[in-house]
Amino acid sequence: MKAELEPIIRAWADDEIFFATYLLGRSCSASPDLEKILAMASIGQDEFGHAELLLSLLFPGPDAQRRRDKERYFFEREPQDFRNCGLLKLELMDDWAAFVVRAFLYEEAESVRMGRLSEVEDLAGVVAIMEREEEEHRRYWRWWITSLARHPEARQRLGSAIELLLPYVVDTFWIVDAPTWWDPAILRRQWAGAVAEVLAPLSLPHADSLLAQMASEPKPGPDVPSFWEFVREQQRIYRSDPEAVTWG
Amino acid sequence: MSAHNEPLSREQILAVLRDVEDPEAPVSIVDLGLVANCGMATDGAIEVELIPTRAGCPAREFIRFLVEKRLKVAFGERQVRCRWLDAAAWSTERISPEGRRRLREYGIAVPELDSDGRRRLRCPYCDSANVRQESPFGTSVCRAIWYCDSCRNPFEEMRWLEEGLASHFHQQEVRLWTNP
Repeated sequence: MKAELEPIIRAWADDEIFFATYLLGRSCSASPDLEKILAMASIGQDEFGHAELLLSLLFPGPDAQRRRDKERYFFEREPQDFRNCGLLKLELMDDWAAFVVRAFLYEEAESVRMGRLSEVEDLAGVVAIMEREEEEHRRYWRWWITSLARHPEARQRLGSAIELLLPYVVDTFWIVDAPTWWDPAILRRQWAGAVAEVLAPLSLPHADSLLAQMASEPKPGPDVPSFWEFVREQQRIYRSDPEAVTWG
Repeated sequence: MSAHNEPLSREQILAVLRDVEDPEAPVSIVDLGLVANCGMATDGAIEVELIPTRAGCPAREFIRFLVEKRLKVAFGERQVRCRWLDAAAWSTERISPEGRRRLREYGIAVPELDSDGRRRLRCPYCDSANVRQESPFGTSVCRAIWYCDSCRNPFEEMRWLEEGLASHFHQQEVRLWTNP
């Protein structure tokens, strides 16, 4: 894999890991019923698989060594060294509408990212594998947004969630040390366009502000101190015994 | 138990792998179509390559463990190299007739294509085609939840698509999208 792709892969893998972590570790408790819990678990597992695929590009080699390299990479980094987007730094504890809005925005962003990277020879195969699964995710979250928007209380909750997430979309696609052909401004406009197709007919509160923010020039996002504690929580068990093994 | 340097055929290895069940359904990993390749390398090691049903299948590590353990029991303390092919795409078309039968007995339907190339899913309990999707995500990452309006049983679908048919399935599943 070309070295210039590394910053993109690292940021993408971190996004996938934390999206999966929220789905499996937080969203399950806020899901409306058992079937939605199963859906969160399935989507989260898919996203972990995608993170594995991406990290395998960074850590080639024999399986056993690769597993250890990937574990060290995730569990031994300091929280400030993670490169995921701001949208995935916010810990949402119990509001289903907020989970849905964030998941919808993130999955649409991922679609734009995959579209761009499918044009890159080294990544086209991985993107094709991921897209088979991501397409199902996008339909799921679009269905949720549209369904919730039909109900007055849910509309208010969606509006509040959009307002809450507004400050955190400013750095999406913004990657430190990315190659020159990676143009976050273009990708952000594509993202806003895809999201607008779904949101425009729904006339949700604050949606116009969100779309304007999404299409704006990218910049570093706000600090989210609680994210660092969240990272520590995810690393705690591994750090208690880094040499522990799973099977065999 | 065979000597460590005795040649092993692909069939001998496959016969042993047929005893390794998928941890999430009582069907062999061979019949499920997970085994892409197997054979003996020039250094005498047994090599097995597996295709995951989905990228994030959580059973991957455990299946690898079972494969290595079972082969070592069968063929002595030979080296076993089992690896997952991350970039390979599994589909339900890889499931053998025996695998389909075992899954059906377990309450899991496998989509079939009719002569027009359209997907047909039938209830594994009563064989009715009067079925609808309840949720695109089921009790494992490779399954979806369905309901049979004839015998009124819920059941699961082993889901995956042949890549070239993705657009066709997309249209069909939107129509079925009643209650994710």
